[in-house]
Amino acid sequence: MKAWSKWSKGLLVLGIVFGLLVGMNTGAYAKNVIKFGCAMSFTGKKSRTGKLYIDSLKLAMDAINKSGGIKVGNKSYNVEIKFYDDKSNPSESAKLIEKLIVEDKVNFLLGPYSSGITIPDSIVAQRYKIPMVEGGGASGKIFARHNPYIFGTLPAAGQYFRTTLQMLAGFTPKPKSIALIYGDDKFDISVAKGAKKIAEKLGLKVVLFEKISEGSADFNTILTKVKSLAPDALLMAGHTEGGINLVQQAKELNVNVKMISMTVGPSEADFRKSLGKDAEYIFGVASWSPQMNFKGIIFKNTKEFVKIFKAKYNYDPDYHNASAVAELAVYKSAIERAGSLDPKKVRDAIAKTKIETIYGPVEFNPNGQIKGSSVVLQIQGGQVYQVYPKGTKKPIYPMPKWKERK
Amino acid sequence: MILQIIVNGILKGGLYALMALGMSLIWGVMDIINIAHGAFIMLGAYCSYWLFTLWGVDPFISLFLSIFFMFLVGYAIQKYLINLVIRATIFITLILAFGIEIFLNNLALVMWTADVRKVQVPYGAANFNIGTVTIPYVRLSAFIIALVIAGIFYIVLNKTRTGRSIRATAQDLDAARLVGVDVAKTYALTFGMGVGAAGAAGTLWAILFPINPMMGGILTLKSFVVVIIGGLGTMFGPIIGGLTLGVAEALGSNWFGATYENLISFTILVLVLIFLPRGILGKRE
Amino acid sequence: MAQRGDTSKKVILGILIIAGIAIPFFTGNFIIRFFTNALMFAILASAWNIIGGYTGYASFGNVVFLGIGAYVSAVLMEKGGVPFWIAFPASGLGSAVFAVLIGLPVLRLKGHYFAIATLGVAEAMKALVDNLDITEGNSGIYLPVMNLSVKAQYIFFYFMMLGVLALTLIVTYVMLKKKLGYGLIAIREDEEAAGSLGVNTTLFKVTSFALSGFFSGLAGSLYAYQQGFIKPESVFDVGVTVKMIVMAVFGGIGSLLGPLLGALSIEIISEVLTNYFLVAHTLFFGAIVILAIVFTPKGIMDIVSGRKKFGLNYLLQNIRDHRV
Repeated sequence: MKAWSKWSKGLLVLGIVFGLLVGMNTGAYAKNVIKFGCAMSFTGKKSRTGKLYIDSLKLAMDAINKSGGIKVGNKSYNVEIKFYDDKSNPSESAKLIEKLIVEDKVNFLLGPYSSGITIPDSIVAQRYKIPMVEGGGASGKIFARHNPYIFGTLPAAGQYFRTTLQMLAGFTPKPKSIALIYGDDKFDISVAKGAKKIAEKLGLKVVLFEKISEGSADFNTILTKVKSLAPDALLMAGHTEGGINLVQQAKELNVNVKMISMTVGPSEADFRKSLGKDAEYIFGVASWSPQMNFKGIIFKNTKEFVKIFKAKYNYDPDYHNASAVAELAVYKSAIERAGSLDPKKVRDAIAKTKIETIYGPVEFNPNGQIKGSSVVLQIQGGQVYQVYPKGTKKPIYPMPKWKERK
Repeated sequence: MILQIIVNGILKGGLYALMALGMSLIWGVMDIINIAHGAFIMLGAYCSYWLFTLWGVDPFISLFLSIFFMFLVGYAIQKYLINLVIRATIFITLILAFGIEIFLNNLALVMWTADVRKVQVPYGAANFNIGTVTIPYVRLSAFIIALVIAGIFYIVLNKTRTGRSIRATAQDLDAARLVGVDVAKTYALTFGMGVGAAGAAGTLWAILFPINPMMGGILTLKSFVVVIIGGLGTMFGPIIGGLTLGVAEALGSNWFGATYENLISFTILVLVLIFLPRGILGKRE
Repeated sequence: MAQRGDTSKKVILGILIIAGIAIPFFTGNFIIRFFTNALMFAILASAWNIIGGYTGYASFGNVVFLGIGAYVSAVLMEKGGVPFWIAFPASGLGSAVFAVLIGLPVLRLKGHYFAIATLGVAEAMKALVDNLDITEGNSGIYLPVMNLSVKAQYIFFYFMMLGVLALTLIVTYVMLKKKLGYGLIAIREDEEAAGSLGVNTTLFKVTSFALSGFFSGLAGSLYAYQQGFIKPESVFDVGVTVKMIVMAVFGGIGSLLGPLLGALSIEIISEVLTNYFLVAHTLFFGAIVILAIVFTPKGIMDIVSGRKKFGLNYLLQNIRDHRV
């Protein structure tokens, strides 16, 4: 008797657990809705940048829905995005992509943030043959396997510093040497290798070429080396927090170069807030800047997007935000051109994308990565300006020495 | 150049020492490995950040507020939480500390978002030169504060009544109770002091580095290394441990490259444990 | 009284076995993947239980075996073109060999010192893999793609994980009935006494550590193959170690099924929380861990075995036992 009652109790618990797990996502499913799935970092290490994508995707979704949705044939569909928190963890993220496809039955996928999480997710997308357009990972590794279902809206790494180096080589007196430091992530490594080649072609000597750990906060040793080598410019391929540390520690150790430039950081509002006046004159590279002006699909043009965005979220959008808008713009155009919600047809339409967005013209290479270029930014008077090629302001070079600033 | 690198290492060692002091005290007295230590440093950093951002309180003044506030937090956590399980196996306190860590980290995330922040004071990166060597003021003061706190801990432990009860409790809990020591209160005081020191580290951290709710994890790990290298049971262990680690990392990343920093510090940790299990200053068996 | 405990153990085991085999045939791919992941943690927690629970050595670096297992498979399959059936056992053996090499010096340490040393080993290995060329460093490494339908792949991984878990539990069970098991428990209770009674403590401890490493390594290999791409920061994550210990404690340290129950319940709790709270889930999870540790430090097994009556008094008694 006793054993029997235990059995029944055990089974009851099991049943409840199952009910909880299975019943969690059987919410009402309205017709005429295209469902997108997105596992983004709401918590954990990547959650700060994750938020940029979330904000942008929501804004773009509302804008599409307000202006009549996406047309498939004669019917128009509203857009709905199902978000999950991947806790900045790749195994969690891949599991959630599974859930989005199998349980939530989403039509299409939007990518997560950072290359390390994008790759496992793209493998799941490929297994189910559902396209994923991502704007949060630029590593060549994502596209190295020629996975036909992944498309990225951040440009390839090798050419990232080209515009910066061209600008640098054009200054008078002509700079002679540069120092290059880079994170040990695939993206940063390719940025640095590409930059080294370009610099040497332009007649700039690379006096320091050193790798740093992705999460490292200590730049003292490298900066001491830079100080004794005294190059004209210091270029870094890394992340925002690394950029803040680099500038702070360069000032602490009184390391004066004529130019500091970095890939990620200067375009973000947090970077300027954290460094205050010390952020002045720092150069940045980006695939996009708010001063550009492109016509768009979802928003009328870049200016309007920036205005609406600032009004809603109270911070300046940067290229992460714009790249997220491009994700949905690509889908809107591809779905309308395909005239269908069939994943295979939409995938083929995405591959043939050739559109104007507020993020700039979007066209994909055969491997799925966007054909793109980069512009040079500089922080002047607490604002980020595009300074090259043809910008709203002229680049300030050389930057004043730390001790000579007011 | 090599001289500058060694000086960098020493100053970084001061920061490490400051970080690890509180952990060492708590570990030495109560045999608790405080996994939540980094989370307390994070709270101390936010404490100074908000005082500075909202009311413009200079971080070197909010340092004392941060220490005081974190002391209260630590006292309360020990009194109402850790004291409840302190006599269970070591896993229990370990995991309780882990629970506290994820609770605090995520509370901070929910309240303040993951935005990167920094206390931006004009003197944050000010420096002076001795010969060709550049020394930043804030890092130097971190070093001095570490020495002062170690000194205060030393005096409290060795010259005061409270200190005697702390030491008695650390040596023999039951005997201490027999002679009338209020063990629960002694533990709470010790934990409060340790967490207060973490608060000081947090304030300095917020001037020098960008902060966010998830910053604590790596700081806890580095504090382990510092405590182990220096050795438990003396307040100057963390200073020696911090300096050793700081200089080793600076020289190591100079010779091998910057990506080897963590490999160097954790290899040192394992080697010290194997060959000098009681640390450099620890008492031999 | 003992009988009561035994029946419930059998009942739990019965339900688990039936549910374990039936799940993939009645559910969708997501649930299968969810349970595959939960099973992996059950393996890790059970493997940790061998060294941490039975032998009493609180390893804080067991994730290193997962990482080594994952990377052995990744490098062999991707760089060496070795088939999975060879890479899989090689991953377990690789982790076991590493456990022996590291165990010989490190297992001489006791208590917290052992815990921190293993933590250091795991962090050092992560930093090493970050800097190696053959593992492609921090950029991460792909594994070959499996040539099966999606459903077939997931059922394959599910039953492989289930198989490794069964193997772990059976080996642990058999071990407990043999000299090895008695020796390990003797070491946990009093190592010096065990030594003077003729137990070869070094051999026993290293064997226990190697077993723990072997099963974790197998789990790592499966994880890597299913994930298709791994990075050092995810497979050497200290958070995974903490998670497996929390699971073992939550279920009940030093009992055969405790870690399994702990792993399943924690995975389910955190999944449900994640579903209902987009951001605050981990906050609640932390609160649950704190409450569970304070009120039920002996774990679920202590409650379900029914040796003591469960109720308010049970919860308060735990506090009375351990507070100062």
